[in-house]
Amino acid sequence: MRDWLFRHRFTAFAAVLVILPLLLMYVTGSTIGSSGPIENGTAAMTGWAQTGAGSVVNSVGSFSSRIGAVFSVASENFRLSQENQRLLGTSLKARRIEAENRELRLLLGLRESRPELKLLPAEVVLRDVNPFFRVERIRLLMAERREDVPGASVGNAVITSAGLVGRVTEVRRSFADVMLVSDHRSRVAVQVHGTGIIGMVVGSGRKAGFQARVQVPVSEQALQKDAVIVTSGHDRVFPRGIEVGYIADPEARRQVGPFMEYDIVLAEDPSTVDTVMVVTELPVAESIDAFGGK
Amino acid sequence: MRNVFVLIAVFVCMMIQVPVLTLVGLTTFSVDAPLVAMLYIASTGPGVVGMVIVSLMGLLTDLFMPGGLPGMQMEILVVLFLLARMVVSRLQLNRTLPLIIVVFVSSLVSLGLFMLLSVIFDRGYQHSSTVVTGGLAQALLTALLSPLLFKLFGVADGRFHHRRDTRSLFV
Repeated sequence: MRDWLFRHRFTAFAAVLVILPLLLMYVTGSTIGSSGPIENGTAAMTGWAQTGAGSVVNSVGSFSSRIGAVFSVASENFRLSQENQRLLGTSLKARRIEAENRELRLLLGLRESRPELKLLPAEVVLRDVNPFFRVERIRLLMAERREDVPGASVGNAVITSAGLVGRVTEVRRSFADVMLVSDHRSRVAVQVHGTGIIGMVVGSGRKAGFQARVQVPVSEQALQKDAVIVTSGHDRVFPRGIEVGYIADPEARRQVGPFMEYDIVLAEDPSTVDTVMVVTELPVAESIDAFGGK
Repeated sequence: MRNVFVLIAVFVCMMIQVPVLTLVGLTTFSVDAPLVAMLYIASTGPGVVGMVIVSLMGLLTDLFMPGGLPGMQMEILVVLFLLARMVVSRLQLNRTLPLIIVVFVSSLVSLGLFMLLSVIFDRGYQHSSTVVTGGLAQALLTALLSPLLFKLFGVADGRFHHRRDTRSLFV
């Protein structure tokens, strides 16, 4: 038996290594949204590694320019340029802090303007790795710290002060994967602000531009340029009244079955956002209202 | 043990590829470094150890690609490894053009396997033309950068054996 196994070890290994991932896919495919401890641990580990790698690569540019300065100027000029660099660095740091402060103020404003929502801040640590899906990975900043805010879970909406970003599809410790509105699998129940026309926003799936499409019934009146699309709350996933985007070019509309489809520009460009809010709990009254209940 | 440095090189490539591609303005593209590494391993060590390393590399890729099913890249890389070891011995992979063609074809097969396995196992999968265009863009960039990656893996492999890879890159 042992000799037979030794002779056919390549075939045996090949069979195991082909079947093992199939079993893994079968198990994880049938339990979407819940992960085991090993998967949680490894995902958290890679999340931290990606965060570190991003910081290192971002600092390479400034490091290389400083090395170049050391070898290209005379000693006095070098001293002056060092001083200049220091002042520039301080200025840049101040600007970065100012931008961060502005962003945090906007998020604080969002929290104050929607007090009925339970919000959990998070920072984007990874974007655009997967060529097929528009999914980002975020790190929850206040996970397990505040008792009045429940932890993030699958299906939670992810928003910023500018508008909707997407929904949580996986939660692994303090990291979560977010399916963006622009992902081709994404569906969001919406209404056209101020008109009462309801529809559905479907992600375009394109990597560049972060665009999406809104589908409204053909029987409805044609939408105007710059008409604002907001969430209707009918899907009980996204809170009502969050801006999704606006109609870019109503002339380019096209009929898709019983719907008229318009291209929309998303209110929030996920490629530029660094900090987001996870809506961990929808107001009960809102979800009942969405279905006309009392 | 001989492919451990290649595995580390793939790990580093995957970690830095998004920030680096963003730095050079290629945000709409991505590079399938594990696929090129798989071809490198298939051409240099097509045995059991090579296959296990390729399998580990697939698992690593799965962990680095949010949104996909764990095990997907593992399966794709192992299947491609089994296919590749049958043909790479007949091809001159140290030459640029054959390497680019082999990588491009492998990327297309990988895309096909991805769609097939997604249809079978991923309940949330919906076919979209963007999956195909995204896969084609990745195949194109991976094929064009494959000579550089091949060289990188050669250097990583040679460093482990205290020898340098003297093959010309564009011969």
